[in-house]
Amino acid sequence: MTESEIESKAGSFIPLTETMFLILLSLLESRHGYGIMQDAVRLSQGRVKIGPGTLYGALNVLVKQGLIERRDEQESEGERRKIYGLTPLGAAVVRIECDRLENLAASARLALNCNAKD
Amino acid sequence: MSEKNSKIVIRFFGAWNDRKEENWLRGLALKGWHLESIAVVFYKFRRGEPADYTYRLDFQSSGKFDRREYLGLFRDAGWDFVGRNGAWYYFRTPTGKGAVPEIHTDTPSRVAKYRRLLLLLVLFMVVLFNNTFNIIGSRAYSGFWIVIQVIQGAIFLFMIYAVIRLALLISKLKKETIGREG
Repeated sequence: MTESEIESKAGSFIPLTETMFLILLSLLESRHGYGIMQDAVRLSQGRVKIGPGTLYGALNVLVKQGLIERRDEQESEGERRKIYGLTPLGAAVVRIECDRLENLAASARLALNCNAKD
Repeated sequence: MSEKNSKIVIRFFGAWNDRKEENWLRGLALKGWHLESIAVVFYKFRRGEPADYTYRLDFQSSGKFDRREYLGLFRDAGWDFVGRNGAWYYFRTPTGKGAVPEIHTDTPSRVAKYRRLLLLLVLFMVVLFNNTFNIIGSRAYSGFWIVIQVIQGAIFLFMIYAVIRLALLISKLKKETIGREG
């Protein structure tokens, strides 16, 4: 895929649910499933906890959509865990969603400030 | 004096009633009866210290299901895998003082769980319907085949009921989150 193809395809995944957005965001660095759960808590300042049932389903969906990919397995504490990372398409989706949320929040802030002055 | 250390309870829960089943298991754990294994409608419990455990049931039927990764995620998140009953997976974790622990934390994944179940039920119904039809078409009406047909018919009707209950549950879940991202 060329860069413009990635860009236009990425748009079709927007908007993301909060769960999907946090998973993709956490995968800016490669992580295993448990790492994603911990990072989602950190990124949302403790507000969002992703359950293991939801995470398992979401990882499969994201792999199928081509937004994330499986990397090597990692061995720690006697357990092998699958490592996931973003694909170029997944990285583009995070960036576009971040822009969208930023614009939306900026408009909202403006509207709230205008309202407060009335 | 010897108190029984384990017991087997026979109980049936509809596929749409997993919340009720989870609450029933929690109630027994509070009385010191902890689920050890499940087979169809047989629940085996072991006596122990009364403890507040939250039980959760998940349904996994996919052919590409990676059991090791799946159970690993639950273990990492602090859930004990209790056992499997067909495609149903039973987990428990200490309830704790904060928010009630959940294995599914958004609506799309809750809906997906019941959709997998619904799909499997509909597949079973197609097979059963086909079977009943073949019997009608090819066999003479001896007493034996009539009995078989009546049983199959009853199962079929019950499955229609289960499909309706599941469809209602899915639509209720979706309605709860209209205008939200789940």
